[in-house]
Order: sequence, then C-alpha cells, then structure tokens
Amino acid sequence: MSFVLEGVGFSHANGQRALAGVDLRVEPGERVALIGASGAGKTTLLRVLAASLRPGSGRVELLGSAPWDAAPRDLRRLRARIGVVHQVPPIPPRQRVVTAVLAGRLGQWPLWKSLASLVLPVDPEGARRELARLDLAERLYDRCDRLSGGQLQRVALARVLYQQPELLLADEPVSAMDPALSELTVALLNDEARRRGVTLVASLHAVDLALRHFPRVVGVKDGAILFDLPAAEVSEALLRELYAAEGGLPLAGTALPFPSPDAGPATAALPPLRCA
Amino acid sequence: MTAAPRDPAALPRLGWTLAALVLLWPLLQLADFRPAALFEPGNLAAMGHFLAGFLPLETSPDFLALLGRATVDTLAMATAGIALAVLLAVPLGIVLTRSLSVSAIGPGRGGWIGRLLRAGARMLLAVLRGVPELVWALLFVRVFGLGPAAGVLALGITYGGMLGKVYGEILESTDARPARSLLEAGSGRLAALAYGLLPNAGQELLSYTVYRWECAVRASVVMGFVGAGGLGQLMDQSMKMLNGGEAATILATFLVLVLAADGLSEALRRRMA
Repeated sequence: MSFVLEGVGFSHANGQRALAGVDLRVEPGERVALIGASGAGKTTLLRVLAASLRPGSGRVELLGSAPWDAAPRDLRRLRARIGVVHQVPPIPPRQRVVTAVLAGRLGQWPLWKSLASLVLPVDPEGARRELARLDLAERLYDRCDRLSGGQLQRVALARVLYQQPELLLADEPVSAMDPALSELTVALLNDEARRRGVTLVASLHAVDLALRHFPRVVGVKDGAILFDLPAAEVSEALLRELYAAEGGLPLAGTALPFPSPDAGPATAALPPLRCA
Repeated sequence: MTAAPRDPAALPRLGWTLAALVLLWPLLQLADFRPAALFEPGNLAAMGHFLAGFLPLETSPDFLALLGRATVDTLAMATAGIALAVLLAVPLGIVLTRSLSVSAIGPGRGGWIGRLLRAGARMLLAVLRGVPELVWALLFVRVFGLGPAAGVLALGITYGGMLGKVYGEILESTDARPARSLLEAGSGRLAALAYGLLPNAGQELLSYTVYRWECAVRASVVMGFVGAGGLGQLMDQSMKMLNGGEAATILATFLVLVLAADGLSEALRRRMA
C-alpha cells in the first residue's frame, strides 16, 4: 500500500490536540481529497504523511517503510520520494524560477551537482517542461519576487512535479489562485497522479473541487476522521456536520457545494459554505 | 460596545525599562562618565592644542611614497586575515544554524548530537573572539617572529570568531521555511543552505564580511606592535616622533579606506539586490 496510519495522534507543545486516533489506509495510485474546517487538523495530517512530523502516538508506514524507525539516511531517502505542495510557497524571493524548480531534485542529486547547478543550471529543459504545463515557461529566468502570488504557487507546484515523487501531497495548493486557475491546477495534479500512477492526497478548502476531481474524499473534524467515502456518497448532511464549526450553514441555495452538471468552474470553485 | 482591554504587555515593558535604567546608573558612575568635563574651558584649550599639532598634513613626495607602500601592505594583510577568518567562520557558522538541523524535523534518533555540536561550536567561537587580537599576535610572534605572519594569523582567528557568530545569527534570523521544506524533501544540509537560506541571507552575509574587512584595515594598527609593517607601524613611528602632520595624513588615509570599503559594500549589495 502507499501508506497506512493506525491510531495516529499528535498534540502541539502547548497541549492542544491536533490529531487523535486517525486510521487511514491508501493504496498506490489512489487520489484522496482532505476536506474540513480550518484548524481541523488537515495540515498536521499531511505533515505526518510527509514524514516531517513525528506523531505522538500510533503507527505510520509510508511507501513501505516505517519512517520513525529508519536510520537517518534511509529517512532522508524516503523524504526524497515524497513531494509536498505547501500552502505558502517555500521559495526565497531572490531566487530565480529555474533554480526554484530544479531544487525539487536536491534530494536525489549529489551535493556537487546541486552546487554546480547554482552556477549554471544543469537541467533548464526539465524545469522549462514542468513550467510549460503550468503556463509559466516564459518566466524561466525571472526572479521569483517578480511573480504574483498565484504564479509563485505554480512555481512551487512545478518544483514538486520536477521532483517526480511517488507520494504527492498538497496542502491547500490553490489558496492563492483565482477560481479558473484553481480548477486547472487541481485537474493537473490529478492528471499527473493518474499518468504516473502515484498516490495523491490534497487538502482543499473548496469542497466542490474536492468532490468533482477526487474519487475518494476524507472529511476531517477536530483532529479525527469524520467520514471516508467515495465522492459520490458524500451527502449534504455530512458536509453540514463537517463545517458546523465554521459558523453556520449553507446559504440560501446557490452556494451548495454539490456537483451539478451545469456548474461552471468559475462559480463552482468559490470557497464553500461561506455565510452570507 | 466595550472598551478594548488594556495591553497586557504594557506593565512588563515599563518594568524592564525601569530595571535597565536602574542597572545603567551605577555602571555610568563606575565608568567615571562625566560629559561636562569635555566642555570646561581648560580642557577645551588642551584638546585644541593637541589637535593643532596635527596640522598641516604632511604631503612631501617621500612620505607619500612611504604611505602608499604601507597602505598596500595593510590592505594585503587585512585581506589575508579576512580570508582566513572566512575559512574558519563558514563551517562554524553553518554548524550553529538551527534551521539547517535535520534532527529538528525528527530523525529516527540522535537529536542530542546536533545540540552537542552546536554548543561546542559556540564555545570555540567564544574562545576565538574572546581573546583580543593583540594577545593572539603576541603569542604567534613567539612562533613566527616579528612580521606580518603573526598579525595575519591573529586577525584571522579573532575575526573568524566574530564572523562565525554573526554568520550563524544571520542565517538563523532568515526565513527558515525554504530550507526546511528542502530538508523535508530529502535534501542535504549544504544544499538546503545554498538553495534555501543563501538567496535571502547572502546580501547581509556579504556586507557584514566587507564591514569586518574594513575593521581589519583599522586593526592593522595592532600589526604595528608586532612589526608587521603597514600603516600601523608608520603611525606608531610618527606618533613616537611627535610628528602630527604625518599622523594626520595617515588618519586621512584610514578615512579614505573606510569610505572605499563603504562604497564597495554598497556596490556589492546593489549588485546582489
């Protein structure tokens, strides 16, 4: 399987509980959306899956190995096989786009190659190819501080695509993008996962994006899994329960996050359940 | 509508400010700090007399030739000293940087090794810069004899300690997220440094290094004591012979060098911006 979590729990240093008793099992090639209110524990769950956060309790198995029992070198190799799209693009503003994208393979390159690439990019064509899929090819040699927030998020995405991970994780990958671009980006992540047969887990604020693009949807509430269902079986009642803490419920009709055949991407990708 | 609650930080802030003042007062007393003495008429006259001895500047061609030669020597020594200091400081500064610590993200084991290493590096840097360069110079004179070698080595060691500490602090205070995300994707520490921290911190690291080079030029006065030649030795001779004009010209040279270092730093910063 791609990963297994059994009874995973985590509490922050201040005692606040972020995850409690999470069981989740995902097979290779599955595409899973995590939805839930802010603060529900989606980010913490993704960090556990990225082997960047050691849970306080429970068992974690990622890509066939147990990260927290592995030797440091093996853990590092495992991390190189997991790609994370962060909510805030972790890219230094003064870096050039080409360097930021090539940084995706630092975990696979020997040090001399990484350093040589700072002097003269070793694989500009590889970086350009990933950027082209995101419609940013012409910004290859621009500096990142000249990009907009949405463009920077796409550069970060290109970096992870260039990394070619076996487990592709995304934490609110479209939070800085407009609705049309969000739609394209989520579709692209899904295409990539399908094409290369890798596992994709993405947390999304927009419920409709999750339901439309992902076969499997996991609802996270108060650090636990509220439901784990095929997208078609997620009911309105479940969603109301999931978002009850966000202060209220759907709104007068129009913004109900249900897949309707005629819903165009531009309107459908608005954040869900926003109170009027 | 209710009024906003009082700022909970206000009282502690007032307390700390008062504590700092209460501590400062006896220290000023101990240091015999009496600024009024500067402006008493007798003292003003004495200072004026002393300063008048520095004028006019000495501009004879012979002296200027000597001065040019000494300036080149000084620049060479300062540059060699800083190069040595950078060699010492870079590895130690990197060791100090917590944001490059893989174990902070959580390895299987071994977080204490990193902590031990950082404590050791901090200690070593404190020793390097805690001993003044003059003392290091006097120590090395016993080995290398009078001459530039002892001075360069002393500069390199003391300034290596300062640079290492500040490098570590600059790297520590830059945004750690880029480096962390690279480490989380399996990158090594040095690659994470080069791709995650240096783009943000490079400018500041460079300008601090140039500033230390400027300090090293001034510190060459110390070199005079160990017979390393350069502006320091020239200054020493002029002062001993009570030749104010020569001393003033040397001071003016220092000023020009400081301004040049400033210009260089500015140009490099702009180039890297």
